[in-house]
Amino acid sequence: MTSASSGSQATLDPDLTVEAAQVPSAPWVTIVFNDPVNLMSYVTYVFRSYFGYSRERAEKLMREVHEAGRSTVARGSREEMERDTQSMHGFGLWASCQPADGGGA
Amino acid sequence: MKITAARRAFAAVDVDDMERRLLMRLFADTAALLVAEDGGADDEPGTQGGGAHDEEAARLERLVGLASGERPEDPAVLRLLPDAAPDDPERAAEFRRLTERDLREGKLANLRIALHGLAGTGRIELTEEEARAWLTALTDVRLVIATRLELVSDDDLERLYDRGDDLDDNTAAMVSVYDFLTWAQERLSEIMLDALDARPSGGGPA
Repeated sequence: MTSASSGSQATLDPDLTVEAAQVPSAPWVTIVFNDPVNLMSYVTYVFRSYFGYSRERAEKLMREVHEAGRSTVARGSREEMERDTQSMHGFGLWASCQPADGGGA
Repeated sequence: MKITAARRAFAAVDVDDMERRLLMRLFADTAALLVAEDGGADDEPGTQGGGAHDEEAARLERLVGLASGERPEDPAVLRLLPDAAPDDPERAAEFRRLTERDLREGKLANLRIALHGLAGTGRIELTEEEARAWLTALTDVRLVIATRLELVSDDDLERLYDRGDDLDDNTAAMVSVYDFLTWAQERLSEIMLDALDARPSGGGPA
């Protein structure tokens, strides 16, 4: 899906993938915002099926979105977070990505 | 309408004729919105002195999947294709340029799967992939109707319910269609969540 912006080098070079996984603090985050349309069960389903989170974790993040208005649902490289953000939009959730230390979270 | 977890297929949808026609119209209208705004820009001469060269460049961009990067003007389309960086218009535009076409096509593919199922007669049996497409297509239709109803906060729908008989016919009809879709989506979400929970692996990315 992210043909134009994918981190194809990281996938092609196994060493790069290992290094990226070892970076202690991930530089980018994906944030999902609350909206009055998306159902709690659906948002839980999206977090669970797309990110592979447990039901408990998916529900915790869903409640955070619902109650706090937003939740950081993933951390990783900029490319990964852009891919996740696009996928969330594909599911109809409103998401954004940004540097982990940039702006409110 | 009835939606059930099915033994032979992943899920089964039973609709009466009126529901079938309604769903087809809603899915088709939403698909038309996604196509119309995308194609619309192509027909316009371009405000900044178009010319053959720009047309050729635009054609190439479309070929490799790049979009114009312009925000949709229709708020419903903007809700379907939202900004990825609300605080950074430049990055949002660049993100849109790189990803919006894929996003549109993904949504259109879901809507087509749903329309294809409705085009037959009798019970609609869905594989898990088709059920996922239905679920997302239902979301997109609800997002469009919610935008038309100006549902911004969690309380706005309640406020419409409270106005009851004072609503004009069109708004009242949209509210009941919205409720119908909400019910259908809730039912399908539960079936899909249950299926993930029932999976021995605990459900990783599918």
